[in-house]
Amino acid sequence: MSRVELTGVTKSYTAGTLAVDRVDLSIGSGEFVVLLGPSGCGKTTTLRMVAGLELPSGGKITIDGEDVTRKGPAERDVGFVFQFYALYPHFTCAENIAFPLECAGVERRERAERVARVALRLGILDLLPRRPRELSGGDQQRVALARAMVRKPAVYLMDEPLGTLDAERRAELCEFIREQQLSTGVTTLYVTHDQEEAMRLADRVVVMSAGKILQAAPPLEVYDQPANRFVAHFVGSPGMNFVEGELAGGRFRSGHYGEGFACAPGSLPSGGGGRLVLGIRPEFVKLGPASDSGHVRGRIVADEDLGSSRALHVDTPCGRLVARVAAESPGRRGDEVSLTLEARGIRWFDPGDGASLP
Amino acid sequence: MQLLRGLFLLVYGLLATLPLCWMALSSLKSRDDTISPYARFVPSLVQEAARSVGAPLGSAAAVSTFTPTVAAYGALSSVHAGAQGSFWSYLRSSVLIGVLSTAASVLLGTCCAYGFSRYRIPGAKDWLFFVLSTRFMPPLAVVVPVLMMYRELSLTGTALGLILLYTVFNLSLAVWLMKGFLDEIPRAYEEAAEVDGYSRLHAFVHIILPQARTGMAVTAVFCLISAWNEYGFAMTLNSSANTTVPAYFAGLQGNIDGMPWPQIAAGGLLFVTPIVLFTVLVRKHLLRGMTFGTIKQ
Repeated sequence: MSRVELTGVTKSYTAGTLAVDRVDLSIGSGEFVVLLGPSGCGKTTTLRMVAGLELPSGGKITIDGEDVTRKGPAERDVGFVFQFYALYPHFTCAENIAFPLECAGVERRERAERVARVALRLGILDLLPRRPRELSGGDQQRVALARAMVRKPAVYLMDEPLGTLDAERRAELCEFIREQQLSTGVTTLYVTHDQEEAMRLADRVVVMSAGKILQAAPPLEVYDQPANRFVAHFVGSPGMNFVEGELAGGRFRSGHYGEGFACAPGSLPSGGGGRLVLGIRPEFVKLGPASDSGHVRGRIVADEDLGSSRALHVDTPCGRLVARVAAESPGRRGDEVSLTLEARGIRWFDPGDGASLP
Repeated sequence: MQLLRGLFLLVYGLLATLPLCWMALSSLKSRDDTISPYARFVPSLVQEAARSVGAPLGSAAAVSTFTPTVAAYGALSSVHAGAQGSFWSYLRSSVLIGVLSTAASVLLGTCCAYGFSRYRIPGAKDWLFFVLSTRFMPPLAVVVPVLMMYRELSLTGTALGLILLYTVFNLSLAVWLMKGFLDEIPRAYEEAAEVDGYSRLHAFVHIILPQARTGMAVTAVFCLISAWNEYGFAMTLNSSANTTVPAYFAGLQGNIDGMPWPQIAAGGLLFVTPIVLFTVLVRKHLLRGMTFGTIKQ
């Protein structure tokens, strides 16, 4: 059980460009934190700096109060799971899993015992005598997880461990990782660009973009109260709708939609009116026949099947809005519809910096 | 298609092995048979018998046969005029010099290439070019300066002198070849080992080297062949029995009885055998190629 603290951690590769820009993050003991962001946002670099595989250009990293900023990976007591497994191909799976124990000077018999125990827990006992290249990707990643979990390090660090697996395997291993983490209680920092994974696993999601942390909060809060437009759009699929416009006297007018519509009093921002961006998630955009008295009228231009639901892209005078509706609900391409924006789903953002407004 | 392929392989196989077969046959002949105006290539243990049943002298059957003898192999053990030792002592030197210089080139080359592959070295490209540039000049162009230098260092006439020389010649090739192979090995392996608590050196020895085996085998084949067949320096720097087999063959030329062809053929056959054996032994590594299946890239 260990706390991990990052204070002002910065990484620049070449002068001028910052891969990670003054990141402050405090991970509590036993907490499962997921770094979420698009590729190139600095999440993997941050993880690698915690592992000691990259040296920060500035800032401080502590594990359990001990400053490890300049220490090598071997001195940090971390378990790392790589995106591409990184199993040693010339060893059998059993030898792979035993490798960290060998270094720790664990005696041969105990080594075999602990390998068997962790393999049993991960359901890979039958894979032990085989070589990594004979296994499927999912099984290889299980072995890699076993290699990290055979010790009980201070922190587990996982770099998109499920990124190369197919959806079914991913869901299965996702559940499994969470289970293991809960039962061992080891502090975990996990990197992914997949928001579903992040939502499923995390105690706390840390959304990153361009080397900065945009929001660090529990999954539901990130979804419900996004800190800014980027988070609102990146989290959720499809992302949040945005309409830029002017709010005055309880009516919201968009540039191309002169008359605008009245907003329910409960959904107004506390800061009053002015130029604002209205944000609403697709599931709060309700569809009705064109004759309805909705907020705004439009025509369906695309119909995206999401399996259990459908995303209807509607061109309106306020711009394109996406509505998420039940799979069996009416509404086909070309239909004229009326849209109602549910008051409880409305969020407001600053048009300049995109920050969320209370 | 199958038939065509078989036919092609058969013809090519015959063409490729014909010189070796001829050499093997020659090594079993008497010297007179090797320089006979007729090609005598049918070893016959019953030649006399064939003649006695009346095959006319000069008929095809009679002239194309010869009586095999292993005398040439016996002659390899004798020290001929002007030489410092028998063929066997030269072969021993060849093995010693070839193996040690190859081992040194591959070892040093791998270490050096690992540095270039994994660490950020200022001017790495220029250094690599410099390494390669040592091969721009034909080595024999520097034979005189090397000879003078070796005389000062008392390295002429020693096996060590040739080992050093061949190691240096092959090192640039080894560095370049090994860099290519090491670049293919993902860094994640070392990173995984480091996270697991190992030192960089331990990761290199236990994780990287086993995976670089293919590359090392390829490099070793190249280095060994080059050192094994080198003639110019072996001849110039070394007139003692510490020199390699190519120099031994050159020494046979001065033989007062003319060229001892059977002996040359016998020696030549024995000389190519170790290289062929070595290549066959590492063939598994050569053909397996880079089959890393565990890290996708």
